[in-house]
Order: sequence, then C-alpha cells, then structure tokens
Amino acid sequence: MTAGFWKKLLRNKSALIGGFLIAIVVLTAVFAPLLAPCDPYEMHMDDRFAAPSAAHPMGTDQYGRDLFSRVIYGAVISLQVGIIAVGVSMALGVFLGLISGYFGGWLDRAVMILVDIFLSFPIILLAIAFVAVLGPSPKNVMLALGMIYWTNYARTVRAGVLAAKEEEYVLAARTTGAGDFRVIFLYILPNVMAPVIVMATLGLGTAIISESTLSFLGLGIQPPAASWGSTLAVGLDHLHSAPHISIFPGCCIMLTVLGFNLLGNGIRDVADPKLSRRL
Amino acid sequence: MLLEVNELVKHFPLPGRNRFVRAVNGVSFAAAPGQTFGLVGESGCGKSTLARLIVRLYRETAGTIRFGGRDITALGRRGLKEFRRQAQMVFQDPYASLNPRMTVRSTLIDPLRVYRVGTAREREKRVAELLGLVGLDERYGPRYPHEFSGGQRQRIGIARALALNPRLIVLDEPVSALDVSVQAQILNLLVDLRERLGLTYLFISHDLGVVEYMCDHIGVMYLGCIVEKGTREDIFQKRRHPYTQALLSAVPAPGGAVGEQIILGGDPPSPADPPAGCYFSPRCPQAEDICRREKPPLKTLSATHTAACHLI
Repeated sequence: MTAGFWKKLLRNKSALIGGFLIAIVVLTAVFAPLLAPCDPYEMHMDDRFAAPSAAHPMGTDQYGRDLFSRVIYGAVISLQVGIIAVGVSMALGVFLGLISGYFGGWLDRAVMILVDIFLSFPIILLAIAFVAVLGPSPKNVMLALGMIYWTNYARTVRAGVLAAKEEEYVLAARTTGAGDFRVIFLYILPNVMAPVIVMATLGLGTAIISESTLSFLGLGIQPPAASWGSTLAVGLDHLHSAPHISIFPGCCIMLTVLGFNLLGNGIRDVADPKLSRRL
Repeated sequence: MLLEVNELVKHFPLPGRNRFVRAVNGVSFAAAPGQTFGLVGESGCGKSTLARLIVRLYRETAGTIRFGGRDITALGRRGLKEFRRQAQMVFQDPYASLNPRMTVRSTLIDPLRVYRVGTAREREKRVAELLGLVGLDERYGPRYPHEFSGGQRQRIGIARALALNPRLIVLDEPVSALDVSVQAQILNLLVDLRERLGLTYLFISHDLGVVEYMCDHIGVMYLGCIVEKGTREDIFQKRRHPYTQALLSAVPAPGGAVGEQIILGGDPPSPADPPAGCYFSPRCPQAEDICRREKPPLKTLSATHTAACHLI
C-alpha cells in the first residue's frame, strides 16, 4: 500500500461514503459510554414501549430501556463480532491457502477437500450447527463465523500463490538461500494480499449480518446484551404496536453493512482495477 | 574446473502414462574458474531448464553436477544452503525478477539476513557497496522496483546475485529483455565485474553476437542436447555441426555482405515427442539415412572441440 493508493482511495466516491459510514459506527462504538444518554440495561417498567421522544430519541423497549442507548452499545457488539470473526476466518484461510498453494501435493488436496465440504452446506445452517454444539455466547458466535468464512480466503490465496510461486522474484529468493517460510511470508504473502483486503472489508458486512441473523434466531448474543440482531428479534413480537423497536436496529445493520460494502468496493477498484472489471 | 555437468537429464512428466517433456537430454560441459561458458540455442531448447537445474531450482532426472569437485545433486538442506551462497543467478525478465513490494534495499539485504552476514550496520554498508558495484546511486535504496527502467532493474538483479560474494553466476538471458543500447552497458558491466571479482559465468543466450562477445567456451544446444561444443574460435571459425552452421549463417555481417544463408525448414520438433536418430535430422539439409536411424555420438575434433554428427 503506497502513498498513491491512499490518494486514489480518497478520490473514490464509493470508498469515501463507505468510509464515512464506518467511521461513524466506529466512533460510536469507541465512545459508547460517553454518547449513550442512559444505562442500556436500566429498566423503567412505567415507561415501556414509549414512542420516540426528546427524552428517548428512539423510544423504549418492552422493559422500558432506552433504545437509543441500546443501539449505541449494539455498535460495540456488532463491530467486535465482525472484526474478530473476520480476523479468525482471514488468519485461518490465508494460512491454509498459503501452505496448500505453496507445498501442493496431499496437503493441497486435503485443504481443498475441506473447503469443498464447508461450501457444500448452506452457510447459516452451518453457523447454527456450530453455535448449537458450542453453546450460544459472543465468543462462540465469533468462532463459528470465523470457522465458516475461511474457505473464500483459502481459495483466493491459494490461486494467488499458485501464480506467484513461479514468478522470477520468488525463484530469485530461493536461489539466495531463503527457506520455504521466508519465501511464503516475505515474498508471496505481500503479493497475494490485495484481494484478501477487499474480501475482508466486504466480509465485515457479511459477518455483522450473520451475527444479527444468529442473534435474531436466538442463537447469538443472549439477552440482556444489546445486540442489534437480538433487539430486532424482540421488536418482532411488537411490530404492530411498537415498530420503532425493530426499525432502528434494522437501519443500523443496514447502514453499517452498506458502509463496509461501499468501502470494500472502493478498495477493490483502487487496489486491483482488473477485479472490478470482472464483477 | 569449477562447474562440471555430466550427462544431465531433466524430464517433466505430462498427463498420461510414460509421457514426458524431454527438456534436457544428457548434457555435459565444464566451466573453468574465471571463465565464461556460453550456452546458445533457440527458445525451447532447454537452456533455461539447464540453468535452473544448476542453481537447484529443479531436481534432475539423471546425471550429476559437480561444483568445486563436489556433487551437488545429492546435497542435504544444509549443504544446499552453503552451495547457494556460492552460486547465484540473474534472471531474464528484470520486470518479473524483483519483488514489487520490496524496496531495493530490502531486496539486497535479505540474502545477507538469511546467511547472517555481518551486523545491521555492516549490511547497510554492503547494500551501498553493491549499488556502487553495479553503477547505481546508493540513494536508490529506499525506492521500489517500479521506479526504475529495465536496465536499472537488471543492475539491481545483478547486485542481488553479487550480495553473497558468489563464485559462479548463472546468467539466464540477462540482456535479451533490454533495449540494444542498454544491452551493451549491461554486458560491459558484467565483463568488468567478472574481472574485478574473479567470477565464473554460465551465460545463456539466443543472441550469437552477445555470446561471441562474452564467452570463452560455447555449447550449442538443440532440443535438450549440446550438438557442438568448443572454444569461441572453434564455434565461430571452425564450426562443423550443420545446426551451428545454419545458426551462424543467420547472423548479419557488418556491411551487409551476408554469406550464403542456410534457411532451415519448419520448427524444432516437440521435446515431448523427439524424432528418432539425430534430433536435428528432420530439418538438416545434409541428413542421410543413418541420421534418421541412429543417434550420433559426440565426436572429438580437437582437444577443445566436439560435435555430435554422423557426417563429420
């Protein structure tokens, strides 16, 4: 990533709008305790299902908790889950892709069979199965999502490695005495990372949706934690009487995912013009 | 002899049973210290495969390579690392042979780190020294390869090959991707470095003019075999093999007084399916029956000069 990259990224409209949305979410998460007007867990039984007002900008939920504060704290959970889930899947996928592409042979075949097995299941079903086995907790949701989304990274990186390992600069590294792991991490990895960064940015959006889905189904973040997905699910029971309970967290999910997708597309356009023409 | 290659064979397997690309087919030659041994031939004749076999990027199918009297085909991990310190390679394409994500400094310093040469400060000094050796400004260190021209990049590639003070450098078409004006500069640099550092070169090229300028001994390759081998005079003045004659007749002479040019019909046969007998027989203007039946033995024409042809 050179200086030219950042300059071009700032001139890319999609990246700029996406980056702006993400910046809002990130700042909200970081400064959640300062921004939230109320304690997100404090119940007021006399103030249940209140519509948006000056005191409660997004209204209150079924226990009279301030929805605005809960949505602000939801940003923390969503980002946390998204970043760690993507981190886990990226680390796993990039590592497996690197060694399977570089060493080939039985290792490569084994990894690719594993990828095919994972891809043969509907993703959300696999996530539900993982969480059902591990038990619903924020840590397990991140782990489960990480265990599912690594396949894309593995395939992309493997393809990149297959091309890069025949490049003359890689051969040159080997003739100057570099061992396998030096070649892989110093010479090949930096040259196959561009699509991975794009995938990771887009993957953050996907992971946040998946967390919301799991929480919505009751398998993700458990109450009373203020996840966007679980709040959305609670609102479903009161959709006719108090639609604001679902609408606000739903909008947050949508805008955050939109932000990551726009940013991801922008990075792709700038980092790898060849990719954008294909899609 | 610093480098002795004996009956070296490399076959790459193809899909299907018993199908191979016979890239290198029993090649033998030797290079003396301080000299340049040249390998010439058309593209696809196995020159680059041979180069990669010698620097151990490929494993041979059969044959031996001796370096400083030691067989390097059977080296273990540690022996291989020690050998690589002494034998380096310069690649053909200066645009592909430098890591685009590494600065010039990192590219040159990495081999020193691998071999734990010197302290951090000594390594920095060595980088500056290497850049000086190949005629580049030492301030170029923090720059990336894309900021350089082809000729400058090839100088960086040469500096990398020099980093570990090797005895042998395998040069695989080091100037064929460069402009003619730049070619001359790089060739002069290579000659100069050979004299100053006492290097031995294995110089691979398809350009006869370049080979004549650079090499003391020359092997002419055709379809994975050396068909004629000798000193520069043997090959350029006393050539005997019909392939060498055809190859050299294609070199334009200064002043336009071109001798009788021998035009070869067709293309070289596929190395996956070589012809019976002499591999050159289907295109040889002088071929006789025996050429199509039997593989010609290598005939000794003088102390330095050999050729593989039934008709000489």
